[in-house]
Amino acid sequence: MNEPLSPRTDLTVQQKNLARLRPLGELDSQRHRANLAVMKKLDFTPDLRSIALAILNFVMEQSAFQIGADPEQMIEAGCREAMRLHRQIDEELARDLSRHVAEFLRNGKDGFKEFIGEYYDYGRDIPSFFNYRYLLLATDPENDDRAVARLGEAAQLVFLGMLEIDDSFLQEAELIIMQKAIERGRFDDALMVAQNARRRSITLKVAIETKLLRARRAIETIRWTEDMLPDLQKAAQHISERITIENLIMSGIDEKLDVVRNDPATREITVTLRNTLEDCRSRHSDLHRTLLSAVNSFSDALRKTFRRKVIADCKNPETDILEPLLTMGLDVSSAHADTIVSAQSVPRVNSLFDMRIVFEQALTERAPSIQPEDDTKIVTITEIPPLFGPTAGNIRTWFLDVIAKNDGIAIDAVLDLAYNAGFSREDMRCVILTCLHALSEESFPMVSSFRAGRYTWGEFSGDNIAYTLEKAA
Amino acid sequence: MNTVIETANLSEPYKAVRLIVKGLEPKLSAAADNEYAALIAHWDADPEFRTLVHSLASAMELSIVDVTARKIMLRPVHEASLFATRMSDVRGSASDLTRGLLAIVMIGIGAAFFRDGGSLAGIDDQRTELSADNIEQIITDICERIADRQTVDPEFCPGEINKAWRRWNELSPRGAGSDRPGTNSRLGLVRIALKHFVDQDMMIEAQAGTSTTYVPTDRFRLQLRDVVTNDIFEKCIRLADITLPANEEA
Repeated sequence: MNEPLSPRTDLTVQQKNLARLRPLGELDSQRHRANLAVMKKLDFTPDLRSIALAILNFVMEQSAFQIGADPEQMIEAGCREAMRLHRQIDEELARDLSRHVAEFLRNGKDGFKEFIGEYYDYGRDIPSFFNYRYLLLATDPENDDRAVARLGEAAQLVFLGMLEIDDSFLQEAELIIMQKAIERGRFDDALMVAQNARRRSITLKVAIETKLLRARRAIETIRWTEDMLPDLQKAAQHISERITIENLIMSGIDEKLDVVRNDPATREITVTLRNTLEDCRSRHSDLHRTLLSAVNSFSDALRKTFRRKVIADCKNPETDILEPLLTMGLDVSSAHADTIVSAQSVPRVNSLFDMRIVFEQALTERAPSIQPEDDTKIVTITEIPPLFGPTAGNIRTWFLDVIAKNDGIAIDAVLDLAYNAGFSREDMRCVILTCLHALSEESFPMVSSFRAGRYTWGEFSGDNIAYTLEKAA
Repeated sequence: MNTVIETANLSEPYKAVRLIVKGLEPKLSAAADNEYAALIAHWDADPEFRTLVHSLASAMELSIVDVTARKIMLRPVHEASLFATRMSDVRGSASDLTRGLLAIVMIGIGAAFFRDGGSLAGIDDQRTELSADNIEQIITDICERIADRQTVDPEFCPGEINKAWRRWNELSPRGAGSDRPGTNSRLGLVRIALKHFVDQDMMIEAQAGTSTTYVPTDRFRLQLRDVVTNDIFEKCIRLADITLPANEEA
């Protein structure tokens, strides 16, 4: 029976997740590539995958306390793991390995751009591409002076996958498992589940805080009561329930601690379990407070937004500014260089009481936009310097074009045209030399010339020569 | 030592000037300066104080870019301001060629980090980190794109040999003969501009890995946004129109 094809969105998602794993496989295979700089220093095969895992773990853990991890500490975490795994290497080499892995996870080999994943889109029935990140450096929004490392969405998904628990309903299930395990005295199992729960609470905290952060930054476009409030209320209720259950489990553990006081091994596991759960509970309490204060923080952000001036029309720096500037003469950007640099600088304060600077400034004129160089004395050219290089070639083409369009044009008119076309000082020199070279039949066999009096043009003067292009026979 | 700064007895103009003075030290943070923190709290609380600071700054030819919990961000109103930085401060005794290319690079760095108006307006908080090589490559790619278009359509960018994109393509990528890029190479110019931005509290250098990368600060984004929304671009267009040779217009 032929059934119509239906969109297989589940397969599409699985394909994308598979594509997200590709960089990890690629990293793993690098341990056999002896030609890599870092591998040349090793006489064994390093476990790059475990170092990557240590780095991701560290960044995830740090993200629970702040908006990201300190990049140097992140490298140290990878370094520690490398030294733990490979006791034969020294700290410097371990740090090199960690740096290599961190840079790989930031896609350093491709200019720190996003990774590109290929997958088959079953919905549209075509091969497609998508971008994703493992690790990125960003500025700390609370402290613009420092960089922080953050997990990209691919790393978060892989991280969740490593936990081997579905994120939606097993949060509650794992609490039940924990309760049962404690009741039956299976503290090892309870500890394993508690550690998973702790990682999940970190993920949840990061997800909610990221959502709040994005909402604050896109404050003008967010409809708070419709886009944010329902989700936040649901999250707050969920966390509140978890705190209640965690309190119950904590009481259960406290009772068990009395029971196992004569069994040091079990007591140690139980204490670790209690500490892990305490950590979860404290995170959830923090998050609960954050959620409850989110409305206030939103109002605050909104107030700050209106404090800034409204940008009615924000141009695209690349297509609207840079590209047109590049297609203009360089003299345009040169003429506006001071405007551009002053607009992209902080106020500059001169030390007014430094007499050396005062005299220097009094005696030195500010560089005007087109500044003559200091060789202003007239130099008589007795031997024409040779012309070569791309500029000379371009000027030659331009010069021939000018003569073709203006038969009988003289040097002063050629210079006028070049000046009006915005040629730089160097180009003007090249033009005058080209005019002189054009007197030579060897250099310009197609040009004939005749004297047309004298000319003085700015710093140039001499016999005025007119040019015509000889017609091909 | 008493670390609490008592500002209640000071006059409003005194406090306003003090806040502006703090803003003239771009790397100073209110987190490390109690007086600064008290002045910013006063700014937040009192609209009349804000008006006063605005008018004093304006009289000094300064513009308030933004005020955060940590600092007041100021910039010179225009290039003739007493507080303005000139290109000669960034690169002493630069030729016209270098001045023009450095100006292009400064805009190019902004375009590399904030390709579109959305990211510049701060809607997307995921800022990219880029190395100097990445930025050089991005500007070169754009120039090559223009060159390709010029090949297909000679009327797209007619005549002149002095076009900025041609000049950029003529430069050596790194300069010759040394491990360090030459100051007149493409990479050298990018590094000069990046160093300027780092000194100006507009960029932070990050060293997580084997290469140095840069991440723009909020100050950079906000000032760049001012650059692209003010009239610099229109001025450039007007100047370009004036310098178009008569024979090309025909």
